[in-house]
Amino acid sequence: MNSFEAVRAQLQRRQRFLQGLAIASWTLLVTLGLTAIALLLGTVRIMPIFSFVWWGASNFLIAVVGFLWGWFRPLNVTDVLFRADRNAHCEEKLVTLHELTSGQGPQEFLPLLEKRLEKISLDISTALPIRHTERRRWLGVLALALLCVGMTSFIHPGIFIWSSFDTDRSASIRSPEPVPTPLPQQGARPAELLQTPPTALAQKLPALRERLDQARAALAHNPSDARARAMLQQLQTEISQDQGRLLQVPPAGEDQGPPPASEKPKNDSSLVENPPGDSTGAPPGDDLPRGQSALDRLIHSLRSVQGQAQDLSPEEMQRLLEQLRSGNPEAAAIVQQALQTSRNDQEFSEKLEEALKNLEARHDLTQQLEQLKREAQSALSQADAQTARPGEEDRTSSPPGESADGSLQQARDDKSVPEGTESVEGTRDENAVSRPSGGQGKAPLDPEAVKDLPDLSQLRGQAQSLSVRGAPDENVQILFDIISTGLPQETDIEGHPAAIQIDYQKVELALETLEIPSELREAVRQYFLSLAQ
Amino acid sequence: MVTEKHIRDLQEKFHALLEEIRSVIIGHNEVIQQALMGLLCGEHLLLEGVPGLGKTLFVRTLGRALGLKFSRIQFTPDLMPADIIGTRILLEDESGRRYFEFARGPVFAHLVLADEINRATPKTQSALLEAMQERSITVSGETYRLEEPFMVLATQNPIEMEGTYPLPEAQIDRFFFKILLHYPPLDQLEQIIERHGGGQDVLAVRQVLSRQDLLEAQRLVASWPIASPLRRYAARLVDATQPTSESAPELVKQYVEYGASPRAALALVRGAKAHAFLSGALNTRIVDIQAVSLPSLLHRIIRNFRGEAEGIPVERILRQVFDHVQPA
Repeated sequence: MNSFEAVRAQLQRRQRFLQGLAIASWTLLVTLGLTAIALLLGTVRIMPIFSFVWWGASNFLIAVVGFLWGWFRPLNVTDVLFRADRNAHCEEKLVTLHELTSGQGPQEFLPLLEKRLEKISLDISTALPIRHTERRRWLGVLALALLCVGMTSFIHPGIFIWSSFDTDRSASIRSPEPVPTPLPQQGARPAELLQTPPTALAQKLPALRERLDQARAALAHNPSDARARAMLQQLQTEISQDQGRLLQVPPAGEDQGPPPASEKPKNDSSLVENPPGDSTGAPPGDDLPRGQSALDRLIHSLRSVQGQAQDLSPEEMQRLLEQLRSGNPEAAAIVQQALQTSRNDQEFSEKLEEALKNLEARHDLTQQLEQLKREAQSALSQADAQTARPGEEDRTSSPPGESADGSLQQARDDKSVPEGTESVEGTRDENAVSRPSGGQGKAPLDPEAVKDLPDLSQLRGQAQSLSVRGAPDENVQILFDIISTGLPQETDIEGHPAAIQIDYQKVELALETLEIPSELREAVRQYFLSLAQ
Repeated sequence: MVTEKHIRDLQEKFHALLEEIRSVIIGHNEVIQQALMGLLCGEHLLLEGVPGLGKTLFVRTLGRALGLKFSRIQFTPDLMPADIIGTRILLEDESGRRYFEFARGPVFAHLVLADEINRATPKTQSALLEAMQERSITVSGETYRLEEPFMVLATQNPIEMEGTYPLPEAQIDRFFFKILLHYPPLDQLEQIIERHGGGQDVLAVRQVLSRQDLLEAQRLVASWPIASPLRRYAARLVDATQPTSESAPELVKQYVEYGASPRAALALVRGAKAHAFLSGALNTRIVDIQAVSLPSLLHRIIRNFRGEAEGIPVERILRQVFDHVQPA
C-alpha cells in the first residue's frame, strides 16, 4: 500500500465516521425532540410518561443505529477526496490521483503526483473536519437531552427508577418543590406505620388476657391482694408500651421538644382539652391518645383519598394532595410515596389499600390492647372501692360528671357486655362519655352512684346520627353520632344532667378533612363545644 | 515517457520566455501570461485595447523570442481576402509559357498579427477566421496546410470607435481568449519612456524556445491531468452563463441574450491546463480554472438589448457568475 492509498483509506474511514455522526445527530435531534414533546404531553396526561432509563436507552440505541447506517452508507470517494483536497489545500492532488489510479487520465503523471503527495503532511481531521453546522446540531442534541432530563426530573423525581414506562398520574401531579417532612419528630413514622403490625403482639394478647383474668380472680377473692395489684399495674405498663410500639409513639421521658406549629391544630385536644392525667391512667401521658387519634385521622384521610382518587383529574389530584399536605402531612406523605412508586392508577389504589389494611390492623390491635388496659384499670378501681367503701358515704358530694369516670362506665358496661367480646365501637363510645366528664384523676368508685347511672346498652338504642351540610354546591356532609341519655327515667335521682356523648375524634376529623367552608367551621366547632358544656 | 525533469525543463523555458518578453514589454503581466497560455494551447487570441498600448510590439517580441515565422497584417477597410491568404499570380517561364502560381499571403506564418482586425470588412475578416479554424487555406480548389504552430493574435480597437466593423459572434467565439489591454499606470509609463525612449527595439530579444519545444509543450499540456470534479466545475460555470439555466445568477437572467458555448468550456479547461503548466503544478487545479475563466468567457457572452442599453459590463456579469458557482 503506497502512501496515497493509505491516505485514501484514512479519509474514507473519516468520512464514514462523519456520515455516522451526521445521521446520529439528526436522528437524535428528531427522537429527542419527540421525547421532549412526549414528556411535555405526559405532564398533561395526554401521553404516558417515559422513564429516564427508557427514553435514554431508546435514544441511544437509535443514535447507534443511525451511526452505523451512516458508516455503512456508500461513499462517493471522488467527492470525498475533492473536499479533502480543498480543506487541506492539496491543490486537487488527491482527487486527481484517485482518478489516475482508477485508470482515468494520463497515467504517466501518476508517479509524479504520488511523489508530490508524499511531500505533503496531510492532517486527516483538517481535510475532513466536523462542520460548524454539525457542531451546532450536536449542541442542539445536547440542549434537547438536557431539556428532556430536566423535564423528566421535574415531573418524575425518581428518574433513575428502572421501569418501562410510567402510566400513573403520579408524574403529572408531582410537586416541583420537595415535599415537606410532615412532622420533624416523626420522620420515619409513616413508613413504620405502614408496615404490618408485629405478629408477636397479636400472639401476646391471649397471654395478657390470661394474666388479667388471674389478677382479677385474685382481687375478687381478696381486694387487698398486693401481688394481684402489682400484676395489674405491671400489665397496664406493659400494654402501654406495646401500644406505643404499635402507634410509633416515643416512650415517655423521651421528650423531643415542643411539637411544631403545624402539628398543633391536628391534636384532637384542640376541641376538648385532654386532662393532664387521662382517666384511664395510661402511663405515657398524652402520647398514646394522640397517637391513636393521629392513626384514626390517618386512616380516615387515606380512605377519603382512596375514595376520591378514582375520578380525579391530575390537577384535582394535585389540589387534593396539597390540601392533604396542609391538613395531614403524614397522610400526604403516604399518598405521595404511593404515587411515586406506582406505575398506574390500579397499582396506586392497591398500595393505598394495602397501607390502609396495615393501618387498620394496627388500629384494631391497639384497640384490643386498650380494652385490656381498661379492664385492668377497672379491676384495680373496683378493688380500691371495695377496700375504701366504709369511708365513702356521700355519693352526691361530687358532680355527677366527675364521678362518672371511665372505670365507672366500664363497670356498668361490663354488666351488659360479656368480657372480652366488647366491640371496638363500644370502647370508643365509652371513651367519648368519659371525655366531657373531665376525668380528674382517680375518683373513688361509689357503688350507689353506679347503680343509679343509666345503662349505656340502653342508651345506644337512642343514638342519633346527625349530618351537617358543607358548602351548598359541594354536596359534603359531616356525619357524626350523638348519643343522648335523655332525661333521667327515675325522677327521684338528682344531679343527673342530660349527658351528651359525642365522638369528638370524629368531629375533629370531620372538621379537618372534609371541605367545610371556613366561615362555618368555627360555628360548627362552637356548637360541639357548647354541647360538651 | 514523461518525467518530472522533462516537465520542469519545459516549464523553465517558458519562464525564460516570459522573462524575455518582460524585458521588452513593461507591465501587462497578465496579458503576457494569457498569451503564453494561448500559445501552449495552440489557440488564437484577441487583444482589445486602444492604439499605442504595445499590442504589436508584444506580438513581435513573442515571435522573436520563440524563433518563429512572424507576419503582420494591418487590417484596413479596403483590405481584401487575397491580401491575407494569398492569390494566384500569372507567371511566364523562360520559354514564354505562362502559368499560375499561388503566392502565399501573410497568413502563412507561425505567428500572425492581425492588427486592428475590426477595421476590415466582414468578408476579409471571414477569410482569416476560416484559416484560424481550419488551419488550412483553399484557393482555386487547392488546399494549403498551414504550418504548426499557427497562432493568430488579433488586435482590435474598442468597437465603439469610428470606422470599425464588429466581429460577428460566431467568429469572435473562435478566439481562445479575449485579452483586455488597459493603459499602464504612471510608474510603468515612466519605465516605458525610459526603456524605449532611446529607440530600443525587439531586435535585442533573443530566442529562448524552439519550435520543437513549443510543440512538445503543447502536446504535454493537452494531456495534462484534470479531475472530473474540475471538469464539472468548468461545465457548471459555462452553464451558469446561459440565461435559461436554473443555476444562472440574476444578472445573467436579466442582461444576457446568449451565454457561453461548449467551445468556451473547452477553452476553459484547456486554458486551465496551460495555467497549471505555467504555474509548475502537475495537475489542473481549481485556481487554474478560476484564473482563465474571465478571458475565456469574456468575449462569448452576448448581452441582450437591455444589457447593452443599460451599459452592464460583461465583466460584471461574469463576476457574479463566478461568485454564484462554487466548486462542488
